[in-house]
Amino acid sequence: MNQLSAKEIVTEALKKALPKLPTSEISNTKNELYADLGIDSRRFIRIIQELEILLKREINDEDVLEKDLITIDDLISFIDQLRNNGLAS
Amino acid sequence: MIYTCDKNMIPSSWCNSLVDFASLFKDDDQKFNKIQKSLNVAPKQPLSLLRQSNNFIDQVIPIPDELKKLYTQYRPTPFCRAFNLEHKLETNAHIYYKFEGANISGSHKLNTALAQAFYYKKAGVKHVVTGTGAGQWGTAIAYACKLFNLKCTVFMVGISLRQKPQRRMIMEAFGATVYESPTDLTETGKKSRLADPLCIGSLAIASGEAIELANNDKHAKYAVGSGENSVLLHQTIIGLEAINQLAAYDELPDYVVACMGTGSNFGGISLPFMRVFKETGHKCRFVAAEPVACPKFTKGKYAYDINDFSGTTPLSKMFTLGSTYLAPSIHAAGLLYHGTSRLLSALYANKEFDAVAIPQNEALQAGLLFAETEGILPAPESAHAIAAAINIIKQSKNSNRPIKILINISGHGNFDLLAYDEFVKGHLDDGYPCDIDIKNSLRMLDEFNKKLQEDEHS
Repeated sequence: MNQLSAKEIVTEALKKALPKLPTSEISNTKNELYADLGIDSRRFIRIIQELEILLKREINDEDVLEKDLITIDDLISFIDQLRNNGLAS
Repeated sequence: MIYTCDKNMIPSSWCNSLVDFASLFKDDDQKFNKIQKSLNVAPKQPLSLLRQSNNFIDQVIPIPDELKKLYTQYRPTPFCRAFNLEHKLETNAHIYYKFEGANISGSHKLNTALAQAFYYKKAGVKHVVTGTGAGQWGTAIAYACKLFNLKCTVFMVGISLRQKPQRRMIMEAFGATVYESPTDLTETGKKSRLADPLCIGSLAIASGEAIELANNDKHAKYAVGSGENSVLLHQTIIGLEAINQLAAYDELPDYVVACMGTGSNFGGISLPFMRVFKETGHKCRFVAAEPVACPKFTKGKYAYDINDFSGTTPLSKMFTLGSTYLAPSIHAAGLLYHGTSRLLSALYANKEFDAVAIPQNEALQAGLLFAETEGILPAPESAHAIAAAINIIKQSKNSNRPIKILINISGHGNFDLLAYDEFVKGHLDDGYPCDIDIKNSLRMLDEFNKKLQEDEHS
């Protein structure tokens, strides 16, 4: 069973997908993914790929469809939801 | 001889050229345009398409069976030797062409429209929004959405819609809602109308309106007709088929020629041949024919630029005239996008192909000649490729051995009769832009790139 919290998973995924991003930007979870961190759709797919490695499962369209992912907090909630649905480790 | 009936010619997989040219993409997506705007980063496209656009591992990607079955409706597309054109030109060159216009949408755009609709449906999307220039993409996606029972909204470039009202008719016949862009439905459209009171429009504006609508509506997703890596992937079905079909003639092309807008038909025919010829060492020149009205390769710069007027889509390093560039109005509206595919831009920077700029009248003259000799009226866009091919043939007149040239005819021109009518009556200009317009646009492009550098270091 994965010991990392949702916040740790998101932090790790952001660091790996976007190594040039300052840690201080990631630790402020109120930061907006697009407006503050510069995450556009091309960068977001890299984050999805890192999350899949950390969660040991594929993230499907059904998982993200119609989700609101504006802040880092939203991304953390998203990971929590995946886990609560019993679909992620 | 025309090869149309052998369904075995349809490939089972697409050719993923990202693998072939991965080294050219090392740092090209590191720039970000800082627009302080709250945005939901949940993907606007299905993850399957995003994965296709970012796959640097798999050499081929299988075409899903359900999609391949749909392709059998109109594929393999005709592949012919243009004997009559050769005779008319009094040349010993062997001219081949592949015709992508014999389907309901009238162009190669259907190849990716069907694929995209398939993946959107699979992802649970119900509403697809898009922008279209000349209308071929809008028609294709409207038809594909109809097949997959998806709602479809299309923003079409204003001047193009007025020149070709039949395009609106056919899109609406398939259930799409069509808007003449720029509209006052979106902030992008309203802003554009201030600078463009005649509502000529551009693909960047139409796309920007579509993206804004998708950004503001959780249930709507944006589909793109050209430029994206996944779109190029889908279009490689053209080149893969052509390789099989040409094998029957036991000849290899010395030239492969296609028109260049954002790159989907040029990439579609060329990329599979580039892979094969890299492996075999066969020498072939690939030539992109762009209009003088939008000379992004021949007069543009290789720089970072925005893709649409919403400014929210990822920046691409590409050959561009600058996003503020508004091309003179010519009938080949499908070739008037300010930039082009980042994959093809990287290839051009690496001298993998050549580009030539063709004046409008020369293109349409070539189009009429092709209609006279081969019985197909090409789209004005495709006519640019024919004109470029004829120039190559004229330049090779003294060649010791006959050259072999393959032209991709991306679509039919049956809705472009106004273009040919105006040409015949001598009412068209060539579409040359004012040098000052290009200069101003490139200056703003330079300023934009300088700002990106400064933002990166701040």
